[in-house]
Amino acid sequence: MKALTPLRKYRAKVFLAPALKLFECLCELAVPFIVAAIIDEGLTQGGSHYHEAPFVLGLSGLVFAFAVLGFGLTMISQYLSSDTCTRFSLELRQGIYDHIHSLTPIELEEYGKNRALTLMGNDSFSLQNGVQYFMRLLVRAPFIVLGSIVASFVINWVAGLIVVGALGLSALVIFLVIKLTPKQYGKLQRELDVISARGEDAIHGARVIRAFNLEEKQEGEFKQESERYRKVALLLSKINAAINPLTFGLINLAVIVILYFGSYGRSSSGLTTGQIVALLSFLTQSLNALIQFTRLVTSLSKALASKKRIDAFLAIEPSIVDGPLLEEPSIKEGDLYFELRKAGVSFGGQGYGLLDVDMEIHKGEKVGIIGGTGSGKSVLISLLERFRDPSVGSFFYKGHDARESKVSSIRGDIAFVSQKPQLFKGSVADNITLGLPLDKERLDRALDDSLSSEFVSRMSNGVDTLLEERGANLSGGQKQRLMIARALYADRPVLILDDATSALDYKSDSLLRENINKRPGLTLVMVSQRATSIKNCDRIYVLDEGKVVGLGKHEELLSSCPVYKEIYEAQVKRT
Amino acid sequence: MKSLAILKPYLKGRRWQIALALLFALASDGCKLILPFLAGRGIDSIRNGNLDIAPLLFLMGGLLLLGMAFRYFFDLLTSAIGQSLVKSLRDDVFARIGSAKVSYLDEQSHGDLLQRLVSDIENVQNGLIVGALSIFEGVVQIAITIVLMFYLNWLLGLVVVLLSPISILVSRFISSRNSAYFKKQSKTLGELTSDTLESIDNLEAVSAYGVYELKKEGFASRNEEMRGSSFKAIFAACWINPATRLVNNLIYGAVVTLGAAMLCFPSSFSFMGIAFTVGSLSSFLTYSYQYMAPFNEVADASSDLFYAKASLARVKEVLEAPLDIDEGQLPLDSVDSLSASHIDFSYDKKRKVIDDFDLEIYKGHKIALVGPTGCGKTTVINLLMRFYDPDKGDFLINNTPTTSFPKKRMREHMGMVLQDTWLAHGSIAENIALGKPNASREEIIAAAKKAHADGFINRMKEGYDTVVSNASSMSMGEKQLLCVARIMLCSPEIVLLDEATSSIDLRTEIELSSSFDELMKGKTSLVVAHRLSTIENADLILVMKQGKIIEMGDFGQLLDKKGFFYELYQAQFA
Repeated sequence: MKALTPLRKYRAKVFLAPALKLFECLCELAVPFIVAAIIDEGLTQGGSHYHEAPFVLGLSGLVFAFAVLGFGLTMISQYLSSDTCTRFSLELRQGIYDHIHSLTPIELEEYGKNRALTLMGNDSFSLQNGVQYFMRLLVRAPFIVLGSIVASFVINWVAGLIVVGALGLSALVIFLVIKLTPKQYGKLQRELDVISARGEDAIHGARVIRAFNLEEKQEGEFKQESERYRKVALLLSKINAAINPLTFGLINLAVIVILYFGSYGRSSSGLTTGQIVALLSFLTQSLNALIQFTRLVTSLSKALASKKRIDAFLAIEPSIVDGPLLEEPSIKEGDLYFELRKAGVSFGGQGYGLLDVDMEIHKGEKVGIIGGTGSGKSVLISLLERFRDPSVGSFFYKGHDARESKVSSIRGDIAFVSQKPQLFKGSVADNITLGLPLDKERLDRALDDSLSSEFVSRMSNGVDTLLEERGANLSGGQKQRLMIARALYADRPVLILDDATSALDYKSDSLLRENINKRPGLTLVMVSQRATSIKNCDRIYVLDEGKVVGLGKHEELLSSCPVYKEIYEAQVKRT
Repeated sequence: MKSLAILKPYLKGRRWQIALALLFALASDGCKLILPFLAGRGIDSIRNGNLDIAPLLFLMGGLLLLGMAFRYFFDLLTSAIGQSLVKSLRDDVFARIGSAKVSYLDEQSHGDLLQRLVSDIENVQNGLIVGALSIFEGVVQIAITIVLMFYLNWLLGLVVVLLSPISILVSRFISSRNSAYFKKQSKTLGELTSDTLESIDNLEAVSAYGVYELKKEGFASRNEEMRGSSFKAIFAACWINPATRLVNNLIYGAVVTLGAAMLCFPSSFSFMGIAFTVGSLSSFLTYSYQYMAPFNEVADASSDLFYAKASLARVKEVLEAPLDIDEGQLPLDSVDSLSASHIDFSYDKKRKVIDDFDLEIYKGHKIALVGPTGCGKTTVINLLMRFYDPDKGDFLINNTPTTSFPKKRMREHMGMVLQDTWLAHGSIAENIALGKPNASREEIIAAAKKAHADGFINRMKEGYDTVVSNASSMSMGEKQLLCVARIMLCSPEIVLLDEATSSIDLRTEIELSSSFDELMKGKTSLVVAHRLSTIENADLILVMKQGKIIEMGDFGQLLDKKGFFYELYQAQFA
């Protein structure tokens, strides 16, 4: 999909609206001819031609008729454009929303979360305006200008040339400005991004900024940034401000030349006064149209910049896509569930985040993964969850290459609890069921097992209590417990806990593990930095600097893996 | 109009610029509008057979150049005024965010707040400066045109002036209904944005649980709502231009009819003292065209204006955000004693989160807070740092309530690392030097080494110059190490650690502990611990439960007590 794809459906309307505008313009262009006829045919030199009155008044009546007809046509066109542009932007926003969800968290992060958000707000809005302006305004100016030129030639070819010259030069001015400004608009947008980033810091980082007394420094830097924005904006308007006086000047220069031509060159041109009046009308009409047009230029170039940004975003190919496999083989207890073979992940820089990892997870097994900060535990989990594919080596799921499966088959097997608590607007219950039908008993069990009942029951409305944005009214440990409740409620065959209890005290942590272990048949992958948390696992992988440096049961590792021993002893000895 | 009062101080210093802009508008409109009048004189000359009109044409040329110059400077000044308004408004909104109560920021939707700083201010400029000035310019054009028309022919002038209010009434009528639509549109857009932000922020959970299926309906219906309100706003605004154009075209028709009648039957009108020529008719017709344009301009600008007023109201809300009260005046050179006296606190004024927190902290002591999740440990840090103030009781520094000191002076003596890590947009080095912005690169690296962050920083693409932000894909542990490096660098007098190492692995944490010992040597520190191992050497351990201190003592004493702490301790080995 591209930004303008949703418009295709409305192709007929997109062209019908300007066509109606065309007829409105014809109504407008006819009027000067009527006036010229009144002056030249209806009124001879000196004026008093009583018997011409019905002719003159009849022609005047036409002016009224055209005015009403023009209005009717325009309103139909306005309705079409308002309707189409809003329907268009509805689909555009849906498209952006869908595309956000088709990317992995890693891809979205690379693109920039803020940028993605801007697409939904400002960019889709300015493109909606662009479509609307295109449909109802953009064509008007060229129609009037071209129509005026044709009409002038009909009157007199020299006059026609003068009008062409003036309008052509004006169009050139506008064209130059359109050419010159996009680069500046790009710059302006980047400055706006800077302002946005700083604003976000001020909001998110309020506590740290205050703790370090950085309010003034932030304010000072923001002032410089807002000043830079101001300067770019000013430069832009220096260019844009030239349009109006230049076009106005050119058109009126043409008026002067026509007058010159009608007086000093009268013998050769044969222009009548009625024709001169009509020519001046055409020029004035065109000038008005051009001025309107220049105002459009700004909105349209904004819209164009937005279109480019949206296109670039929509063009990002999701790297993780569904494979052809419709049905997954069923596996039984003890069968190989997930397997990594010589898997490695590179971030594009030097070295590997994960290298040469061989890993097996069998159905019903409890697997522990331990390692220090930056040892690659989370990268490993992102492979299992298919947030990324290995850059080298392969990942097998139920015995076949994971890329053959549908993404939802793999993810749907796993109840995943990430390191970062992720909560949604809505009630506690909404956050736990996440769209699954509400089963009170199951919910209570999930809350009990995750040790959430205790604090949820103390909340003002229990499970129906609304959470604030990002769960601001919860502590870190409470958030983590709700995340686990969510995973337990989902009741999927695999549970992955990615350091998901870090904010819990030891007592809660161990109670929680007990509760989880009570669930029969569950395949458990537990990532932790605490050796005590994983020591009862069937198999423990020890990671260090992206490599597997130990594999086995707790007792085996104590003797075979120095890194593990160190971690364990550190924890036990110190406490 | 009342809502606009907030802009007054911003435009105060720019009075002369505004006056000049108004003057330029006047001058450029004057030059521009006299031209059709002169053209009409030229036509009359030609019609009368007097073809030598060179002086007239030169006069027109001169006025043309002047008109162009004035117009350019008018546009330029308009934008200069508008952009400086944007700048100062942004600066003030930003400053207000920086000085608002922390509780205010906690309660606000962050995406929405950001939108006020970014796009709403833009709208204000667009509508209230550019829009308002073009309204003025339009009105001037209308006024000058009226004067010239009356000079040419008072009867025709009267017709135009009497009929033109219809056009204004029509556009007023339409605009008055638009305001509500635009407000609705603005609000719905805010909701859509925050929907999207939620998905973006939680994309891991969204992908893992197929939340998209759940959320997409809500999004689609809000999106549809947006379409509805957007359509209403746009289509309503769409009436303004054609409707005013219709009225003006009808007026134009009236001028043609009446003007032609006057030329046909001059004797019938002579009693009114009217002499009319073809040239005058031509000027009149041009005026009728140009008369139309400013009405459209005014109509356009007024729709921007309505949008702007809705935005201004949103900006105003931020500018009136409750200020962080900072009534303290006393100087504070050093912290000699620290205590808490019977503090009660609740976030919602209903449920006490802290209940009678009372404590004496000796200088140089390490105090540890332990307790189950949600027992109020973090709140104690919030209160001590004065992000929130107690409902009852006080923290006391040097036996004086902390409320008596300016917050800045008090915070100078404190350094904290929170569990919720936060990285500013900027390089790694800048992030470490947050508390000591003029630190040298060597100091920064030394601090990073103490925090055991040097290793992974060097593995990053551009080392210490790698640009990061809060959304960067570093692990929580790495982020925490950076936050620890910050405090290692500025080495504050009082150290507050709120589960500062919760995501850091034990090995690293043990290695870190010697750095922490060094940092805290001789310093007062308050540590919210999640691992009991880190507080073995604490001088005093407070065990909290549901906002109350239930046990107190050093490590050994508490273990001997075989109370709640003992239970917590035992759980580690389970």
